[in-house]
Amino acid sequence: MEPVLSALKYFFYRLLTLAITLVGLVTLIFILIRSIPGDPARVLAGMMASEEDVNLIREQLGLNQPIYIQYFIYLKNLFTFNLGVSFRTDSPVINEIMARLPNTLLLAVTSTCLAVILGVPLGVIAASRKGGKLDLLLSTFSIAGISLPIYWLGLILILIFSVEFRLLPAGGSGTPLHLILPTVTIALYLMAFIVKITKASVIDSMEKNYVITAKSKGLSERTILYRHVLKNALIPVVTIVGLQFGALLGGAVITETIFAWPGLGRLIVDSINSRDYPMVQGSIFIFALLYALVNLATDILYTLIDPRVRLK
Amino acid sequence: MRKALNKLAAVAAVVVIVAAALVFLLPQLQPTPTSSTTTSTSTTSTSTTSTTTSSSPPVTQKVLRIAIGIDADTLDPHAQTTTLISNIMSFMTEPLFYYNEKGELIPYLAESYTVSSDGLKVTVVLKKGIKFQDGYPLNATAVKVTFDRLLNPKVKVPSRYLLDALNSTDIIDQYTVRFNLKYPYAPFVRTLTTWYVISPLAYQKLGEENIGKTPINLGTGPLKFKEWVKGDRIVLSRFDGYWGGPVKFEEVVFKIVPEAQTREAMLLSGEVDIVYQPPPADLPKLNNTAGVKLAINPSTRVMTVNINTQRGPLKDVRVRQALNYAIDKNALIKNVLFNLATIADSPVYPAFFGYSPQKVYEYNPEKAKQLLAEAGYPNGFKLTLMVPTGRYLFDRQVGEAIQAYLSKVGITVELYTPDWPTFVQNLLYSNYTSAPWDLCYVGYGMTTPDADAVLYPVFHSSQWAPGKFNTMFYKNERVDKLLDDARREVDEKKRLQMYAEAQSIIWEECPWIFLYFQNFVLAHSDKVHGVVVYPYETFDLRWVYVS
Amino acid sequence: MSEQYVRLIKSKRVQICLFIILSFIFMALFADLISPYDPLETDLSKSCKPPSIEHLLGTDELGRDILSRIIYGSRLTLTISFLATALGAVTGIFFGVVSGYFGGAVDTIIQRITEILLALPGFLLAIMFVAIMGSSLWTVIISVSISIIPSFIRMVRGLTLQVRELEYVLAAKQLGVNNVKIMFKHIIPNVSPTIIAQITLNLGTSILFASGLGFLGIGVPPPAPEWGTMLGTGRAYIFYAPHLIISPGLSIFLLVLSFNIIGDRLGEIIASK
Repeated sequence: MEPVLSALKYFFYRLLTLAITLVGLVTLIFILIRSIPGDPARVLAGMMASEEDVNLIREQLGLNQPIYIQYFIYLKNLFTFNLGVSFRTDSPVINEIMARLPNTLLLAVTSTCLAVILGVPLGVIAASRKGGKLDLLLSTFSIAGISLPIYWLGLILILIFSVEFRLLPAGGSGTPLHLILPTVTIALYLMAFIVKITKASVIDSMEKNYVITAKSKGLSERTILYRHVLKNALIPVVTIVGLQFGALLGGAVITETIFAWPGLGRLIVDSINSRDYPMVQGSIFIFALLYALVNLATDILYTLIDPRVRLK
Repeated sequence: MRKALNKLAAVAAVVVIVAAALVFLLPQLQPTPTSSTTTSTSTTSTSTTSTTTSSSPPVTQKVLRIAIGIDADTLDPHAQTTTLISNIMSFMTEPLFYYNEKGELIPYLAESYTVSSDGLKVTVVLKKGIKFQDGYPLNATAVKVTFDRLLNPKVKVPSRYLLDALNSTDIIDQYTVRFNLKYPYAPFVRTLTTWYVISPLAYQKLGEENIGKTPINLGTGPLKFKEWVKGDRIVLSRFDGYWGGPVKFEEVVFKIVPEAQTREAMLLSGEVDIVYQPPPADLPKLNNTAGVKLAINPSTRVMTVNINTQRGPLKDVRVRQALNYAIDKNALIKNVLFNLATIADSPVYPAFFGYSPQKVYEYNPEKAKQLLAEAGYPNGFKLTLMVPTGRYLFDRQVGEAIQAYLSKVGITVELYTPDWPTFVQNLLYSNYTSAPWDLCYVGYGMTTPDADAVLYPVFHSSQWAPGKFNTMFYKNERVDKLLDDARREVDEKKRLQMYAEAQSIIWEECPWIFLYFQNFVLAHSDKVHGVVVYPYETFDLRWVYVS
Repeated sequence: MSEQYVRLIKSKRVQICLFIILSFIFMALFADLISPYDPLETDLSKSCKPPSIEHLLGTDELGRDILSRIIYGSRLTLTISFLATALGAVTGIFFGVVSGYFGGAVDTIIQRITEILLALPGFLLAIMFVAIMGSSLWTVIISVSISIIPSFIRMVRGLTLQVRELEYVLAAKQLGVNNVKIMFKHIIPNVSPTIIAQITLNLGTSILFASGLGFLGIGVPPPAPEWGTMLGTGRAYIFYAPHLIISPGLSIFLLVLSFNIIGDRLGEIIASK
């Protein structure tokens, strides 16, 4: 009973802090986006439109009201899960986001999976061959991978596979072929982190006390390895994956630009550039929400892997 | 322990190899996409009227696929702000008149027109027997409904300023319409090419709610609206009852692909048949690619550097002329723009009514320095050049090139590169003291092929910014008078003379650094025939077929 | 503590990286002397020429010598990286120590603010910030430093919490030593090596972030020869003149790699203590 109660308490505490953070974030964005010079009404009306037409649009968009009223309306809507209507396309923000979000998630999930499937085993191999040539190779690859600018890696891969060898499309989406280059680019970058962390934590946990204890208890090597070492080794890996997933969402802007991937990152940038206030506010909100949820999930995963980790 | 770990590592190695192999082998296993659309071997499905030529080769493709760069914000024919989407609308809805490649005014839904002697009434007679896609006949009522909507202040019409002169529209008889003007405005008929006529029946059914989202059967054009999937595609299908004869394909899909390189790749792999504006840096390569044809045409978009004529050294005409001599426009066109421009010898496009060629300011940095010294600035001065980024073709690079040229004659230029909304804000809402720029790179794409369309809003002193488009704050009383008179003058010969004089004065006074007219490129597979490109950055699909 | 740094310098890998970094610094300082051409001088007739004897790395889209632009670009990259990291580190360390040491309401507020900053992807914040302030060298520096601050706060706060409970710190408090003095004399020296490792790593990531901004077109305004901007511009010419993107990317990679290897090695040394 005790642990369940404390788990619940923790969960609600996290939700509360999350809510506060999100409100703070939304307020920050609200202020920032309105501080950028440029009139959304004028952007919509077109360069050659008359002042009356621009004013008409400004009224329709609700931009004529004083700022604090706009803010309260926005907050009120937010609490009823209404993200507003896009200035540019006149359709609900949530629809536009839902049209693009799956693309960003698809990329994030496939590259994370690829990176984990390839990276964890490689990390284990590096740990087993510690000090040897293979280990050196993998470590070099790992640190090189972290140092590579993702946008450059993407461009080089495009150069090789799209320009020189015409094997893969340079961008856009639609077929599984289109998914390969962006996924591999991101996965390579992620893998570098994962290999490093996996190797370090495998080595680390192999030297821990509980291994010696287990050995003295007479447990077979197989059991020790799988039940203790791996489980503990995976904790930092899970942390990294969680962190990187969030970074992926953030770096989506760059990857989506290079590969012309129709995702949420591009949508946000386009909306900033057209001063589509509701779109910017709504999509950043969703982004942040996702990121926070991923963090929460990571923490929960923690407790599943190692119940000794205490909450709070 | 080590043994167990090694075993695990071996398993891991296998996993890695298998996974990596899958990733690399997958592309090889996928069939490379060819022209994967339905290849029906039947000939054209000729329906009612057959104005098509009798000996056209058999059409093998029913669906025409076109890759374009932007998505529409709305499909309301009267709310368009981009040439591309307006172009697409022109296949669904049509105007009373249109221009051909030579800039000649051709009656379209109209048959003829007359202008009253006082210039205040323009009467248009419509063609008979034309039906809208929903069956409603094209008549004077439809035209009145259209223009009443255009003037309705509650409806968003970004180009309404073009109809500034229109007071009201009257129905004279079933096929005759009269436009009543507030003041004599000679270019009025030419502006009628901008407005698409809509069916009152369809308009009523759709209402303001839906007219921008699903413009079903709204117009008289050869293609009907089928579907619009935001961010992905716009699909139009053939209207068999089109008054000009049905098109040769059943459906056209406009696929939305914002990245130019991706569009190009789609053309090369056969995924699409026509590509809108491929990446300019790849044109030399595309030109030499088998199976690909390029349709390059000059467009009416004139690129220029606006000069704030009320500021400091720029007040002196010699300084402004020096700026024009200091820049090698041919080198810009050749090396920065990949030859996608034609040097401008007038602010007015050559095919427009009233065009009068001037003598291009040749590249002469020595003369520029000399003029500057004469004006009292032998050591140059500092200027700010505002350039939008990602808006015009290679705009940043052009800005940097101009900066380099001006520095060679002693003028230090600082580049200011705001994004588009900030750019527009700075351009349109500053007065000559507050403007955060001295020079500004911008383009004007006028749709009315009349010198007035460019000259009046840009060079007349009553049109000074903020809020209007004389952003050079240029003032010349003689030019003002010429432009005012020419607008009202009904005699075309006299108009031409006035515009000729106005242009020569403007050219002499250099409120612009006169640069070039941009070219417009359409790339298509050589299996596509019949594509017509107009100088207004638009293309026509009415005669297209894919063999 | 200094024994760790001695071990650091003895490592062969670290020596090579230090050499690379010093080379770039040398490039930056003596650009005027070693650069073959003026990085801003254009010659449109020579645009997009591949590497040759006259232009070892080729010319860019406006005919400027790429090698010269790389050399002068090192000035920009190093300046941005050092200043942004310094600014971010100092701010982050300060708030981290304050937050960890004082706890309570101060801690909670700083934590919330840090979370808000972390919830927002760094690039998006930078994009908006640049849009508001206009792109300039200082806008880039500030954007980059803002992206660094939260991780420093987090890390330093954690370390402070650990050190705070150490015996001699508690003793000092008992003796009534001034809080500020405690922070400076006891806490900061103890967290130093970890912080230094983190700073080194951040020197690398700040370069990646700054050139990322340049790549997106919102970095230092043209015609500044910033490496990221060169990559971003070169992208449009990838089919036509691929050499445009190779040297800027390689330079970024080498510099970041060097910082990362050193930071990594330092981290290893600290951990093995």
